[in-house]
Amino acid sequence: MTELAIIAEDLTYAYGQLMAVDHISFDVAEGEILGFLGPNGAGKSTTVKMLTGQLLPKAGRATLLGIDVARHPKQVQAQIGVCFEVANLYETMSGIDNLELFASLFGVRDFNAEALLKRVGLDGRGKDKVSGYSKGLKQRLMVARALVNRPQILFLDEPTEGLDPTSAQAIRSLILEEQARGATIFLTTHDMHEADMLCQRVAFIDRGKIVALDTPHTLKQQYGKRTIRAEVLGDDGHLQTREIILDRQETPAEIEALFRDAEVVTIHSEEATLESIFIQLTGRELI
Amino acid sequence: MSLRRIGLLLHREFVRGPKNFMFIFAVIVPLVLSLTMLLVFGTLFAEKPRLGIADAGDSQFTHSAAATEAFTVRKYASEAELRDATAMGAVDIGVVLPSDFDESVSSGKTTTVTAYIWGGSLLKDRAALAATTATWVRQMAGQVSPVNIITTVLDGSVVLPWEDRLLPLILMMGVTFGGLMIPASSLVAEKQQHTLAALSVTPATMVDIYAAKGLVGVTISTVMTLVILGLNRTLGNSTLLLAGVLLLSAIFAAEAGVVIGTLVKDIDSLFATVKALGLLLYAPALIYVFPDIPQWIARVFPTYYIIHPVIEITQHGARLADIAGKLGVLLILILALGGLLALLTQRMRYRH
Amino acid sequence: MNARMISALIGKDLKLYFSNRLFALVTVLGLVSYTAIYFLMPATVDETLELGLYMANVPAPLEALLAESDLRFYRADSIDALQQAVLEGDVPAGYAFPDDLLVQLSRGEQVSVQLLLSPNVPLEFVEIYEVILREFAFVISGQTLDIEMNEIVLGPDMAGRQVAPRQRMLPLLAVLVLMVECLGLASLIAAEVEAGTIQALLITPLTMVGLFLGKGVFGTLFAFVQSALLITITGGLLHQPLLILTALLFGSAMVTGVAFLIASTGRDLMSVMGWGVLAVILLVLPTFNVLMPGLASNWIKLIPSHYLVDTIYRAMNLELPWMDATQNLVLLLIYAAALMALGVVMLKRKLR
Repeated sequence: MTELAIIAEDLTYAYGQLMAVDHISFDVAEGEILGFLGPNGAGKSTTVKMLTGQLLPKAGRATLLGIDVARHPKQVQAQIGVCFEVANLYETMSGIDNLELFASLFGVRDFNAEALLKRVGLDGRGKDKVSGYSKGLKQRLMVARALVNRPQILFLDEPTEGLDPTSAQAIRSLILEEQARGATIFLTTHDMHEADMLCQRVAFIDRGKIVALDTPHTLKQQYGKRTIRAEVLGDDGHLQTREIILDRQETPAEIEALFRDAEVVTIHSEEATLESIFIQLTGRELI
Repeated sequence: MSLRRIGLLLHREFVRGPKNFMFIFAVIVPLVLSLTMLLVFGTLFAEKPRLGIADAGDSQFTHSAAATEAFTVRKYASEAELRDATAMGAVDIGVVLPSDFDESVSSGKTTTVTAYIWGGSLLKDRAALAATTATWVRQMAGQVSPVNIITTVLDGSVVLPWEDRLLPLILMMGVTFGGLMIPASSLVAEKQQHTLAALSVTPATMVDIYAAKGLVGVTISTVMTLVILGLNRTLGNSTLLLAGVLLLSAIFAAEAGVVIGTLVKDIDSLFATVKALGLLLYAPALIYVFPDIPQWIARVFPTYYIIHPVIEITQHGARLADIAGKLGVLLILILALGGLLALLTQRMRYRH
Repeated sequence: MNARMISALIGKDLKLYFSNRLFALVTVLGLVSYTAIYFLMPATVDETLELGLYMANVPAPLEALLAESDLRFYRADSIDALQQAVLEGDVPAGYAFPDDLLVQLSRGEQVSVQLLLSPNVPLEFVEIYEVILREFAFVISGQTLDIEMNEIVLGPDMAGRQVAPRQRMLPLLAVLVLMVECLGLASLIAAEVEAGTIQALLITPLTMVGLFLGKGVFGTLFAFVQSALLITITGGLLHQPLLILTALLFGSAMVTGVAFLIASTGRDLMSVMGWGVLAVILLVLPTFNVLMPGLASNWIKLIPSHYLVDTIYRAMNLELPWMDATQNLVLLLIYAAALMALGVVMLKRKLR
């Protein structure tokens, strides 16, 4: 039976009158990548802070690797890695100095900074001051820093936001490598495409509540509509768009009618996206 | 131009200002330098001898003491207060006068007077105070001095003390750090943070923005230069005239600061520019440090028309008529910089 | 939390401190310039006043007075020699008595005496030279004064062994060294809070206690090493080194607490500098009481740095016994602990 790496039970947090996280419960299995998706202000970062022991929940409980986070935050933190949303590196120190400092704090023996830097594509830049790094390089170093203690659970908060495609792809590859090593990954992101590619399951959070939690495939099955979109030549000689929803009883007849009655110029089938499902569920976009 | 908007911008400058490193620099550095100079050249320790008096009556001795300029005289209400003050070193010698002191002295009876001496007082101060108090008592006793003193001040060259020579340099630091660097660095910082662009698309005009920044510089520069002169005890007798000259100097520096701030791109270029202009700004003060250099050379530099009037007022007691010519030149320089600023304002209107 | 973590934190803080060019420069330049200022300042106090005297025959009563006076005299052979001595600045003033002084006195005539003054003597001091001359004349003419002076010296009598200005300056320099480190540490913490790196540290096994311990040890040791270095270079450890080093260690802990407080109040690096300068001014105040005794009254004892300044000043210059120093050290330690605790609480609140 698969062990659970993260268990959140009725987690709640409020900033004054504002309910940031509203009694949410979920769990993440060992070795799983869970995508935590939601717009700005939905409660993603507050949830991460409670799970990583940075915030004490107002109610509920978080258990990581069988340890109560609120009671033993330092025991938990020794076994996790956190990559923050905003780069918080020692800019006037070198990349190697940054990694070695954290390795010392985690008590890692025989730490090989160069090897880790190579893994994240920073080989040759380790001795440079971080202030000279580009945004993509800083983000790679942030991920590397989260990996210094070979964490059992890795929290990644918007790790690819605003990065160039090469850097984003490098980080995605690392996430998959870490999963292959056996790490559990809690990935917070805006990017539905990324979540679709990487995550075994995704949770949609909106206004502090989880509105859906399942595999991307199941969510698409459950909420999504597959369609075909066709461009036809209208009577006035201009192109018109027609949309037919698939998987219904009347679909074959509608397709037949389309080809019979109109001159079809182009035709495409379209899959449901997580983004459209999110909009369908919450009535708002992922901004 | 709107006074309300200038007021709003000025308020913002003052609220944000104290967090600006240059702001702290402008206030602290001239003060520390003044203090260091006072300490190094010993003027801080060369105070007048200090005499404390606890007079139980209304002695003639106390009146004589009050009239002297050679000592600092402090009066205390009781012997205990005098004793405490002397023990702390507030006075070098504290004399306790009984209520019947004058009668005892004039009657020719032997009178006992308690004198507290601060252990740290200098021997020469003790000697001077002892001789003076004795003379006052002799006068009270009706003794007539057996000598007629003919005082002659010998006609030699007066050596200008180092602290006087260096004062214009520190004064110029007050003027340039406060008047020039604060508006310039503030403008450059706003350019670098792109907040100047944000301000320029509001109803605030460039004139409003420049005026607000300039006024901060003028205020800091005027206050700091007055404080520097006060610290060095060289405010002179015409404080109002001096304040006026310092205000004009501050306006000149602030205009220069806004011009430089408008023209340079970033903080590094600002420092480089000020370094390059350093000679132009400080040359008259440096020439003053070395009296052997022909002093007329200083007249070539614009800041001479700031330094010279200030020195004339503080060290030679000059009046408005004496420095009117130099002030006229300063006013022309202010107007010229104002004109340049107006031209720049026109040019900058569409830049941000 | 373990020693390895603490040493990793200290190593990191050292790297960060020296990567901040401004503070690295201020640290090194500060030490060099403080040392330079110390050695530039007078090493001795000339507490005697030397006067010129031309008198053909010195009468016995005056000879006795001159011998026991705190003043020193240059005896000129002629009026010309006296004038030369005054002009050359050997003495600020000279008294030229007529050759028939005693004859004139015996006739009861008022004698005319010349007081020759250097042009560099300030006008307000002329009275002192005149008074001293009058007092001589009274003594020569045999007029006695029926006053019995009951002289009480308060505090250790430093006559003839005055504390040199540079020794008075040393506590100020030491406190300035400590305060520069205080500002550096406060900025370092503020920068870490601003950049979010503290958040990253606290998500490792490092506890809040460990974090403060690391910063506290770093701040205290760094400030201590520098202040001790300054005191050693300037020869301040020649007397009672253990007492002075203990006071400096407690003082270093105190400024570290102040640094925590400043870091907790400032919103960003610049506001930290603003608050820091205020703290510097406040903590430096007691040193002025050493520089200019009597400047402040008992309220100065409310400022924590008073106990540091008082201890090191008296230990270096007045052979302060350990027994007397204990009260100061205990109070300094209490202040250090209180400020450190308050700083930790405030900073903890901010971090949360």
